[in-house]
Amino acid sequence: MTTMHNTTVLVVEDEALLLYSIADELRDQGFDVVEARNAAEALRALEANPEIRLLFTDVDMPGTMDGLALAAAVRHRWPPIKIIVTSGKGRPAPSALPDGAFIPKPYTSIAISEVFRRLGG
Amino acid sequence: MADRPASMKLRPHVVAVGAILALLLMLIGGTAYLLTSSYFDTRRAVHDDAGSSSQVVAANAKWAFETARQTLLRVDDTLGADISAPPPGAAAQLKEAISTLPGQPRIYVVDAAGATSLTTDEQFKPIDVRDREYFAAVAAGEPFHVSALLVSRLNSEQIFTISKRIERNGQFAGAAIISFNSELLEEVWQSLHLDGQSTVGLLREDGQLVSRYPLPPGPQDLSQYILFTTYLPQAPSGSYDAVSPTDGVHRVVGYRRVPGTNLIALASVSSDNAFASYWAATWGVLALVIPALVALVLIAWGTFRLLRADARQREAEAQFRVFAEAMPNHVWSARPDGKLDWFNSGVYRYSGRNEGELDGDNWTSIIHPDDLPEAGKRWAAALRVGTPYEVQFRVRGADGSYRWFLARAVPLRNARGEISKWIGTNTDIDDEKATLTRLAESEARLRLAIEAGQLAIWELDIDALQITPSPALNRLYGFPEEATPTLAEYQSRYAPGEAERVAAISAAAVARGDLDLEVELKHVWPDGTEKWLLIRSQLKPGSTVSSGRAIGVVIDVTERRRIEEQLRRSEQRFRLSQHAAGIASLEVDIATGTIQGSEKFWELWGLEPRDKAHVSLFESIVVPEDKDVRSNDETRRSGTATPNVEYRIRRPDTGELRWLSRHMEFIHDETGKPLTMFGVVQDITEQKEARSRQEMLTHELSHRIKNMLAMVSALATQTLRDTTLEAGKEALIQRLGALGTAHDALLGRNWTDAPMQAVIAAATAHLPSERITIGGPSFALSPKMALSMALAVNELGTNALKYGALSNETGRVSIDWSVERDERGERTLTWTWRETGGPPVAPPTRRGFGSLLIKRVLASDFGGEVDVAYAPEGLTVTLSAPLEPPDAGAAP
Repeated sequence: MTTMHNTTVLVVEDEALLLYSIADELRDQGFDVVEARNAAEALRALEANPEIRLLFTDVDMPGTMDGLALAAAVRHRWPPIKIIVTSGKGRPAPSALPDGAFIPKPYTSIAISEVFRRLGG
Repeated sequence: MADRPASMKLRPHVVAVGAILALLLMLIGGTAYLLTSSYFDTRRAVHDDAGSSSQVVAANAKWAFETARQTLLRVDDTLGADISAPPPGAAAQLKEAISTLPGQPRIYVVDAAGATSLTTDEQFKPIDVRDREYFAAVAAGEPFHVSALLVSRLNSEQIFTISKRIERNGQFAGAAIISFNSELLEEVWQSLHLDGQSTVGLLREDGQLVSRYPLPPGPQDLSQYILFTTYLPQAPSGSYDAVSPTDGVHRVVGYRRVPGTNLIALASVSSDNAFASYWAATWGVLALVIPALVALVLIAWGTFRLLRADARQREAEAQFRVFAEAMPNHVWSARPDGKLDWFNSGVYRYSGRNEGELDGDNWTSIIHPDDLPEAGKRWAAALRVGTPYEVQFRVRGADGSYRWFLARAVPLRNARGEISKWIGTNTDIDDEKATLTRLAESEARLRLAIEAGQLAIWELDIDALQITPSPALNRLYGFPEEATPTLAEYQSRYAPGEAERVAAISAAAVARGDLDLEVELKHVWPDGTEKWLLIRSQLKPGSTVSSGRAIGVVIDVTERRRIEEQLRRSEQRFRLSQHAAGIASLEVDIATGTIQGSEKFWELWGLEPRDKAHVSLFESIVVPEDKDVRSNDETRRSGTATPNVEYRIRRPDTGELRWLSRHMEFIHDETGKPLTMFGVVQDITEQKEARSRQEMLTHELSHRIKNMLAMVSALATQTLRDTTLEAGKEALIQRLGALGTAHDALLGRNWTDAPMQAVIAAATAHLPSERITIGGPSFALSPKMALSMALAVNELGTNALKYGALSNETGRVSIDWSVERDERGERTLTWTWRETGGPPVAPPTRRGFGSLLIKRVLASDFGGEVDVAYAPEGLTVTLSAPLEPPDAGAAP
């Protein structure tokens, strides 16, 4: 767990149960977790928390910006942040995944930390 | 069909004959060239021969002349001052000196008085030579003189002489003469290896012949000869063709002036001999070439005929196949040995076999085994005798069932009357066969009835309108056999309208004067059974329609009518089914781009029915995105158009967007060029829409299942986080159960929404219902809200059972909700869980997953706030949420 110590992750998920559940699990693993229920909240969180190093976002979300659009915006504005995308609808096109990292639903927090480690976080 | 292209096509037989003719011309040309060049070579060789021979003659002549001169000078020296008295031994000495010279030279010394003072001639007889030219010339002053041909007076030998003037003291003293005979030239002639017709000779410039070998008849003056008139003035040496004026032989004459003399050397080479071998070679070549040419011409003619016949046959076969494809029958062809070698596609379609699988004798594999021996016997007989073949057999279809076919084949004969091919057709006669069988059965029954005397017969007294039936008639009409019903009772069985019809028919018969009447009438029995009866009647002699007697017979033809009706209906059904299947057919003439179509075709395209239209008409109807899917002029002409395509059209009549599926095949001409495109078109819009709906639903379902699994996984993880599986099992099962009940409520509404009432009722079903009140206006929950509401209520209910109002005997729970507008006109949902009458409550010491579900998940999924109040009288949970969430993730 030492590698995850003090790493701040932003979790974006519109399904509240999933959001809080995965946030708690990630905290158990030693991450600092910031939660957001949609893209707008996520962007506000990123502006307020410059220590965020990892974005974990669902693709399917209400509102004008879905997870892929959010991922693109984050890669543009905060290039160092690693991005992992999840969805229940199947893997998006590789070009839509900034770090090529995708975890299908349902997922576990262990899978997320492993992918994050693989991305060099 | 399109017109054939106007440009002439190069047929194989034209090409082959052209090639052979070219070969013929090459052969003739080559031979001519060979013979011509060989002729000129021969001619040049003869000329060269003549030229070189004349050179040899000239060299020898020059040498002889020089030798003679030297000899004569020596004679002069030997003679001394008085030539009349030469020193003794001089003659022998001179003879010795000239003994090695050719031409048997002899030396004479004649003094001015004409006496021969010295000679090497042993046979010499003294004669006076002073009148001779060779003496007179030197006497007259010539230093040397060459004589013309002389015939020796001594021995008749042909000789010539060279004489020298001898002077003593400046006065003519006499002549020294050396004679040569013809041996001089004979040696030259022999050394040149000339034939008997060729000659070598020496001439003097004045045209006098000096010597010749072979020997001439005598001296000759050739000064008027063409050599002197033409050639010699032009060049000192050369060659020319000539016909000898003396013997008429063709020769090539080579001539050359002998330098330092007044002599001309001649070599006449007989060209006849040289050309004889040329002509022999020529005839040898022609003897080979002419038969070869004749053979080539014959081969060309034969090839032309064969290939032309072949091309015609292939054309005919291609035409035949196009026709055969167009026929509804099965068509096939066989070789003269009876092996089948071609079938139209109808055969393959019907039998489900692949092309080539029926060739040879393999066609027997689809014939019913019982019919095969007869078919084989007749086929063998037809092949042996060459008469048309006809047989009926059953053929197995692709589905394994057999149908009856009538097979017929006729032989095609070539010009020699030999059979070159058999053309056969198989016609499906299964329906006719079945009908015929049934008709035959029906007829057989009728015959049986008549034979058994069971004929339904009647006799009518026209005046009394009294009918006398046979028992069979009554049986047929269903009356007791011995009864005598009235005419009206029989007629009461007529179907409505039939009485009027029979009246009209009999009136017409009467008008024509017919005594007989035959009519088929429809009858209806009291129980509703319909029967068709054939009634045949005849007036007895002497009777009229209004008076007398008539007899008749009645036959039940219901079965026959039924079969006929069945046939008619089945045909109609076929037509209707094609129409109903929405299949339209079309035909495109590729050369002109004209489309012909069935009535349905125009309907599918939303066009007025018409005979034909140009293909460009359809281009504007197809939607622009699908334009490239259709065939175009180029792919039609090259035959590469995709056979099966689907595209969208905007129907001109209704403006609807429709999907069409088009399948088509090409018909080619004998060169393989596509002529016609046949196709079928179907409107597949409905199928397309159904398919895309299905795809959408499958996709959505998969998404939901995965989302649900994610929730289940989260529930399980959270529930078991701080406890063992054993301890957390019940809570997990309850939570999953709550999720399930919410699902049921959602499923009932097609997963669009769920009524609040139903969700809460289902989530509290395991609680004592008499202590729970649920109330509020009708309110639809979104799927997300329904799930979190069910989970929250499950948590609250479980907590109430364990620690709250439901843990004792008196407590109650009320769940209420209402929707109200605030001062700004926005609607807010207020939902309350209120416990009363339970044991005193206190806030829990640690925050569990239950409270997370209530405080955070519920609030978040409703986009509102949750307040949990631990009042002394009981727990109260209040959810208040605006109904139009202001910010649902809009991008900043």
